[in-house]
Amino acid sequence: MDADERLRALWQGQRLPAMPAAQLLARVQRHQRRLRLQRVLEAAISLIAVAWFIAIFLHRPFAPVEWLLLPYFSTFLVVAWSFNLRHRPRRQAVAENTQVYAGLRLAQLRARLRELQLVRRSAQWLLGYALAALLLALFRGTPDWHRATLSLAITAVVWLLGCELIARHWSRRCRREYRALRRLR
Amino acid sequence: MHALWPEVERCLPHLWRTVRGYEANPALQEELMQEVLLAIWRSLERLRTQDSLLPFVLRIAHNLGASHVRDAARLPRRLSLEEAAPEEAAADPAEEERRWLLAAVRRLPLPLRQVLLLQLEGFDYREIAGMLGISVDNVGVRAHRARRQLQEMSDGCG
Repeated sequence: MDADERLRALWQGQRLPAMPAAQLLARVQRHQRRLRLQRVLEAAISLIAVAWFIAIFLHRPFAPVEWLLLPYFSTFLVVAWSFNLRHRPRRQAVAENTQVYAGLRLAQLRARLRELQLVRRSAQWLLGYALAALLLALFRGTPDWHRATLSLAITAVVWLLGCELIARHWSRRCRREYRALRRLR
Repeated sequence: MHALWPEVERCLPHLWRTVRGYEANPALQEELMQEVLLAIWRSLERLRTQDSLLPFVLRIAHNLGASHVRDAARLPRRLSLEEAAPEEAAADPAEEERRWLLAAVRRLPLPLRQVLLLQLEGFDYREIAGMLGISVDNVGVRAHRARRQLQEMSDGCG
């Protein structure tokens, strides 16, 4: 037996995890159901937000907090869904040969990094908008506007921190995968 | 269920070995395996002939394995048997060698590792070239380098 055959025999003689195929299939199907449920939840949350604004618009005048949230929601929902719908995660590329996959995936990762940068920027813009509204309300507004702008500013700070944490985590993962795949090109 | 799924189940040992070539942690191996099976499940309709199922599923496993690699591929340093595989202690020498081989393969840079893993699964240079999208000559160069690096690691374990 030559060295190559010996190596092959060693490799193919590995003891493999004893997980039945049926169990693996059940996991795959569970995972698919979870992804579908996640998509349904995202759609439901968006629809509830839109329905909430429409219901308010039809039944009573907007309160200060709703006026403040309107520009935020009208941009946030559009941007979030455009990201969501554009992300077709690796599905088309994954069955291609490795060179093609690496090329497509690298382009996806670059786009993902740009989007994460956009997420950070939009959270910073929201904070800027909330602080500007707060300052304006403090000088010119009524107590209702004070309360509304203050709660928007607090939410914007929390939102910025959350976005920063998530964006940092995903950027790190993307960069790690990018470095690994670049070696294949 | 897709008509070809029972055939995919027959490829599971190949898939497990490939996944183990990319990930040492058993829990993450399962996670990667699940990701691979999900991708296969979604891509099966694009498969033209049943004959090419094994290369097809292994291509998917290697693509996702490459994306999964957590640490940057480094040039392998000398590897001793003691540090080769932190999994459970092996009872017989063949098992010990298998553990060493697995750990050594995981240390190879990605381009060399992919060629070697496919060679170990029994594919020839032409088939590997088709799966990886590189020339047959390039496969030969990478296979040679992979074996040389394995040899260097083996020499360093004395």
